[in-house]
Amino acid sequence: MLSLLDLLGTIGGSILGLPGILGVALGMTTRNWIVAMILGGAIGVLSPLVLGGHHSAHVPITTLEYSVSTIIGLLAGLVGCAIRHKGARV
Amino acid sequence: METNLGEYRQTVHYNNHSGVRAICSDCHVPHEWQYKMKAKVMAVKDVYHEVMGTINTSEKYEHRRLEMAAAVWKKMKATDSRECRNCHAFEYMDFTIQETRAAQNHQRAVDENMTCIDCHQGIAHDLAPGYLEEYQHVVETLAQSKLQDGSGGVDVASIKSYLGISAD
Ligand code: HEC
Ligand code: HEC
Ligand code: HEC
Repeated sequence: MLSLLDLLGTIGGSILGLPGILGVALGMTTRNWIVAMILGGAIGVLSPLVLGGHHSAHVPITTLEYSVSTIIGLLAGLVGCAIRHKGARV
Repeated sequence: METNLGEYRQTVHYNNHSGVRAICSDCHVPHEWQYKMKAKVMAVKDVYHEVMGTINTSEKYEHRRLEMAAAVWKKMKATDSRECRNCHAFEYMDFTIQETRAAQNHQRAVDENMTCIDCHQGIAHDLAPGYLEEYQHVVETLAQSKLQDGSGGVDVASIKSYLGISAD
């Protein structure tokens, strides 16, 4: 399943989904870059678990999904943290 | 997409005795937020092709049908026909009131870990010539990439034997 479209879809989906949105939000709660990364990353790991899967189909959550959403979560956390820093300076 | 609409209107998912309709998105867009967002992002490509007129005549459409169908099969096979299972599930089927052929095949599907799209290609649209070979090709490629992942799980042999292609 490793086509380019699939990869782009997974990345875009993560940005529009929990890792992107909640990642930025949580990132904004702190000025500490490391904490922001951990918070964002944790959301990234959790969201496929919470929002993936299915009640009757047996769909495995792939490593690609986990890694993409974790990386997006980390980055989103950093973006949120950057917003916080920037906002604090004005 | 007009072509699909016309064909779909002839099928049981459009009009049936119970009055429950399955629309395009029921079969083509996942419910789970994670995958729904992904599907929406990937649909940008469809909008592009619609605007560019890649499939705006029926000749162009037929020329591309097999390729497009294969993309859908790949997704459905990889997800264990997840979208079908939002409405249908083996667990809720009463095999005793299904016709024998259906019941036998569904029992087999449960036993051999097969999924809806393995047997129900063309459930809502016309099929292009050579679709069985193409479907088999999709399953094999998927099985190979799964083997590399180490997760396994695709029973190519039983699908081949269902399709009537001698398992080699
Ligand atoms: C929105 C719910 C929904 C979804 C999604 C859905 N179906 Fe159905 N399906 C139905 C309903 C409702 C009927 C008709 C029941 C009746 O006969 O009244 C039906 C009928 C069928 C039949 C019987 C056909 C016949 O000629 O009697 C098959 C086979 C089938 N579906 C397969 C599938 C497959 C394969 C998928 C996935 C690609 C799928 N369905 C997705 C709701 C759904
Ligand atoms: C091993 C092949 C096979 C698999 C896998 C399979 N089916 Fe079928 N199914 C059949 C056959 C054969 C029939 C009977 C002929 C027909 O209606 O197309 C049938 C009939 C049906 C019917 C109509 C039953 C009736 O008595 O009205 C429904 C609904 C259906 N299938 C849904 C599904 C769904 C949903 C899945 C996946 C969860 C699935 N099938 C998987 C082979 C299969
Ligand atoms: C009952 C489930 C179902 C519904 C409802 C449905 N589709 Fe499909 N669609 C499929 C399946 C399964 C395939 C894979 C090809 C095949 O087996 O026919 C497919 C394939 C396609 C393709 C690829 C090209 C082709 O013709 O195979 C397009 C485009 C498409 N669908 C669009 C639509 C549109 C637009 C609608 C609504 C008018 C729709 N689909 C409704 C199940 C469905």
